[in-house]
Amino acid sequence: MEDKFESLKNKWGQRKVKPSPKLDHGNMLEQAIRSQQRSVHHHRWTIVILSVLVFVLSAFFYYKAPMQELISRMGIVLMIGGVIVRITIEVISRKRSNSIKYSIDARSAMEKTSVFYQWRKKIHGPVTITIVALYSLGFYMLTPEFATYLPLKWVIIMDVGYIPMAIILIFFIKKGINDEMERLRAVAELQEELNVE
Amino acid sequence: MINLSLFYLVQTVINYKEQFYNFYDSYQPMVYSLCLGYMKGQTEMAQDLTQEIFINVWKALPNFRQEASPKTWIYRISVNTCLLHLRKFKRMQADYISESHESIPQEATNKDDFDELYYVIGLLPEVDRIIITLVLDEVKYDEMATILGIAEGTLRVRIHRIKQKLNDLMRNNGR
Repeated sequence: MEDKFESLKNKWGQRKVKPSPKLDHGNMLEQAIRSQQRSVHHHRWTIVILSVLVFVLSAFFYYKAPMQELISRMGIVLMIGGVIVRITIEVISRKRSNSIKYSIDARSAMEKTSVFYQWRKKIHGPVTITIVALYSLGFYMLTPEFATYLPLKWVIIMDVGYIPMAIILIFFIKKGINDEMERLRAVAELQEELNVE
Repeated sequence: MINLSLFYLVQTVINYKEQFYNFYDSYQPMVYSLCLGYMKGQTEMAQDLTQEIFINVWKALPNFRQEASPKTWIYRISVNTCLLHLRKFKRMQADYISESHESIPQEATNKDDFDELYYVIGLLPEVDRIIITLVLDEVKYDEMATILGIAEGTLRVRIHRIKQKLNDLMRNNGR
């Protein structure tokens, strides 16, 4: 039987593989450093933005609009607490993601990646949705007390205006969930392929 | 925090720059060849993937402990980067197969032979594609087993099956 593969394999070593001409080692290092910094900055900015949100909310409710009613205070705790939980998750997520090393064997790497995305599935799904729901609940718990200080028109604008913001937020969360579930499916497929006997 | 990370970056560059240059100059053709096989001979995508691999090599370099040879270590990073990278291009890949390869070229010159090989390799699942490209690049079976985390015996059987499949595909014009 003709073994075309073996005959091609014999020629394979003789062919000239033209190395990528794009970058010399200096430019490659530059690009690697840039990429590393980009990834660190991206993560850092997410945490900075969320931390600023906590700071602004805290300052606003402490100095500008100190709430007197218990229900309002509970609302503030839900809002600020939710964001703090989100920051904590972001930090843990980054740590777990960094613990996946590319220099281990493929089977172990896919296993670790799969465990990471399984964890993200839990976080992105129920936990994030719960945080958004509690944040929204907290926001609306402020309405009765706001209504005693502000004209009704402004209270209605605030409450109604929150809805499109929440919809946009939910849209992005859902998109994030779908993307990560796609990655989880892909990694599960790779794991299956690696485990074929 | 910013100063600390800048300090770390400068330290990393000072400590690992020469080693990175050395790895890049020595192993870039090896990595590129793997990427080329994995990307079905598409040079542009193989070049991008090669760069992505060396970005990961740079990130991993401070943790290189010489427990494995540099070659095995770089192969592991390359294989994992390839496997986790390709999904981004899945749709593009599918389009490429359906549009540019209605069937295998019939009259084979040397170049066409490899086009044909790239094409049939492209029909394999991702992991098999990696395995057969490593076979073509003459990586030893025991080294391949440590790169992939698959037992050597299992790997031999699997390689045999993949070769058979490739021969069948080439005989039947990729069908």
